[in-house]
Amino acid sequence: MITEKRIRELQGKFHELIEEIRSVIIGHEEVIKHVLIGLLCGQHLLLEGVPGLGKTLLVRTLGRALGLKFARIQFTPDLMPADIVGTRILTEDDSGRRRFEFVHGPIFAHLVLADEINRATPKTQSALLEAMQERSITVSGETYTLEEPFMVLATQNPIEMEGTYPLPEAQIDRFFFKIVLRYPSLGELEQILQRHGGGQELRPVRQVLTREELLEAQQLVAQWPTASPLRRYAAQLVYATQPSSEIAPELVKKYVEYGASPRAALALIWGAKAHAFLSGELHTRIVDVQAVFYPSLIHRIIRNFRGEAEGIPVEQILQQVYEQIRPA
Amino acid sequence: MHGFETLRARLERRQRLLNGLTAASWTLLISLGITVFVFVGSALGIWGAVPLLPWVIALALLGVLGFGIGWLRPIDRIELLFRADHSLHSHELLVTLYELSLGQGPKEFLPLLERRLERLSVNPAQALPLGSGDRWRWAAVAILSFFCMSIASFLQPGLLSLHSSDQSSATAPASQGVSRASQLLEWLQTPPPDLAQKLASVRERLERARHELALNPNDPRARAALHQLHAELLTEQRRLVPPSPPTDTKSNDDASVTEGSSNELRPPQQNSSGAAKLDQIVQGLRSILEQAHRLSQEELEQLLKQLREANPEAATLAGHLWQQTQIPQEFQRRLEEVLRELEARQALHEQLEHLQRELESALAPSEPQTAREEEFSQSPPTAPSPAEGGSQQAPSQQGSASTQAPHSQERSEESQPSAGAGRGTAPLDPEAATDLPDLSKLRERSRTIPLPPSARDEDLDILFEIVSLELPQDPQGVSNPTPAQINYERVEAALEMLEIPYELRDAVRQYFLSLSRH
Repeated sequence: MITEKRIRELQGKFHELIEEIRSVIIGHEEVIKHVLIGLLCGQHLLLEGVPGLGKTLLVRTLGRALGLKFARIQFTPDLMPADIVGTRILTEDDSGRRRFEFVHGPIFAHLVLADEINRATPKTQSALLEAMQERSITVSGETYTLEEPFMVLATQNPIEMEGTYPLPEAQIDRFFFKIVLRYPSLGELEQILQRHGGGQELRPVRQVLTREELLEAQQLVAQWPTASPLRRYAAQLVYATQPSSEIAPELVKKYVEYGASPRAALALIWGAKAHAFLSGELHTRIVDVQAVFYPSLIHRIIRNFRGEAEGIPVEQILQQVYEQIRPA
Repeated sequence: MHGFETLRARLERRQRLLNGLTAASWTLLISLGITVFVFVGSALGIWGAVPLLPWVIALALLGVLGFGIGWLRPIDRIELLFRADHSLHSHELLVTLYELSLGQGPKEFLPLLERRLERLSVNPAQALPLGSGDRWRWAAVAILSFFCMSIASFLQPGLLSLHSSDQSSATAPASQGVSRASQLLEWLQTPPPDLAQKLASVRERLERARHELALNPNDPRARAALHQLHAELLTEQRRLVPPSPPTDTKSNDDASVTEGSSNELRPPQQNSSGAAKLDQIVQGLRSILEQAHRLSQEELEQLLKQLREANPEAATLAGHLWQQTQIPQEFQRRLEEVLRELEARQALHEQLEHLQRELESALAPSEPQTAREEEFSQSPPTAPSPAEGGSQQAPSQQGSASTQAPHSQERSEESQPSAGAGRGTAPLDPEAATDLPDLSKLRERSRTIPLPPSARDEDLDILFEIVSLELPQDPQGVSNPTPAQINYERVEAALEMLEIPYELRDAVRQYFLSLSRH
């Protein structure tokens, strides 16, 4: 039975979680919120940013604050799928009998940080992405289910593209949000120096949420009340990114090869629900949909040759979609 | 749940009202456009007259029908509540509640959201305001309505006077005539004063004052009482004559001021011209009534148009009555009613005039000699025109009049009847007064002879005024007869100036000669 009191308790815990993360991470308010939205929806996120912006620290802090199992995988060109999912190894017991035993890979964690995912070969990438999608892995004909909550936070470096394997569009689409980490402002930089520049030990992160509470919150968010006009609005936003659609703005028709998939519409609505939950509301609003518009769609728009040649940013295309499609 | 359902019902009613108003505005806009087209065509003579009342009723019915259709139009509740949410900045709370109430979503959230709704004060008018398109349409409807009314008032001048005579009088000269007719009808509707008691009282006070003056001709109390009576009679007379049109106020005021400065006892020109106007209206209406039964509608309208030149007020009044009735029998009946009212007032006015003359005759012989001389010295040697009010004089004429011969010399002059000019006195005793020709008969006779309306009663009134002012009307009441002074020069000039028929002119001259013989 859902009660307002319980909803308020959970919302309060998430606010505490945000505060706990903020005690370690300086700035990145929107990033923290979007990461928590992904967490509440039980979806995987792609974080893009130059090195040194605190991506790994953010994920680690999140794992500690939630009391969840945390694993970090540094993707390199020679990383093999077995290095991620695990492998069967031949072992000998005390009686001298030999048998194959499955050794769990780092994927068997609640929070998995896939660092610089674009540095691994497509074969390894696809192993991770398959696990992300199926939430289970199959090794030697045996299927292992991943424990809930399961969330992969993949990072990718927009520079140093040499020797990398950019993720195929179909695989990028499996990420719920793409969160772009911006460079901190001057004030934030000063705060970072003040907090971390003295060599002093960081305050240990306090656990504010249990695994069960997180799962309860995820279930709650899944059934968060959302009116049909909002669903229509989300559908229109996604539909407008298709260059063949009649409501597509000029930039989409001109520079987009493929628009956002239906998965994007789902991400919009789920993300909006989680955003409403985090905002302390009891129902989804238009502003919640608008708040998750960019992270839901930015990695799902594929520009055509002209768009890439002319260097039209995807953000600019989405901006036109956002301005042209009004809720009705 | 109850609160949300109530609110939803209120919002739905509001939306139905808006739908009704939108549909009504479209209907009226289109039908008024057609109306303008038809009215303009009618005004240009492309087609015949438009029956106004059925047209107005049809327009109203169309508006009501449009409203009804709009009211009954199906409503998309989700769209309605979503719009209300947008206007109220309630962040889709109403539409979410509605869908939850329909079972679309977890029921557990319904009471939680309802509690949130209770904290929100919702005003349906604020949630669903009248759209800007509707506002513009209604403005266009108002403008078209006004335009249609203007054309309708042009086509049928009586229409607007039924609603607002003030407005019509301010807009067009045609409507000014309507306003004047309305003013006259209003005046007729006020009951004439009950003068029987008043007249008896005045007569009694007059007798008393006369008696006192007979004992002491310079008795100031008696003179003051007579002046008071004079003022009262003037007030009553004013009430019996038609009110002046608003545009003539200034000229009438001017005339009154001039008269007051020359002689306060003389009845103001406004009264005498009012009586003349009353006579003129009565005669005009009587003439129309006599002819109305044998004239067709077009002929009657033609007659009214012709009469407007000669007797504008009677024509306006009759035209107004015709506009109101439009049926010949009804028109004649109304005309007779109005005529009866006017004649009753005329009779009362004559009674008051008679009394006024008595009062003046009682006062005139007892005026101090110096005052009388001053008065005569201000009288012009020639008769003033009616427009000048009979009291305005040129300075040179005043000078020549002031150098008139003394009283004895006048006596010698008046013994020469052929001269006909200058000033004379006639010693009037009661017997002499009874031998005089009957003025009232003379007046009645003059009415039977067709004269130009502009120079008929009003000018004759001046003539009678010149004479009757000097004569005692009640010879029995004069205990101490004194000579009356008649300005023969004015009489002769009036005879020459006024368009008096030849046969009457002799009678008038004979009348004055008879005075001189006495």
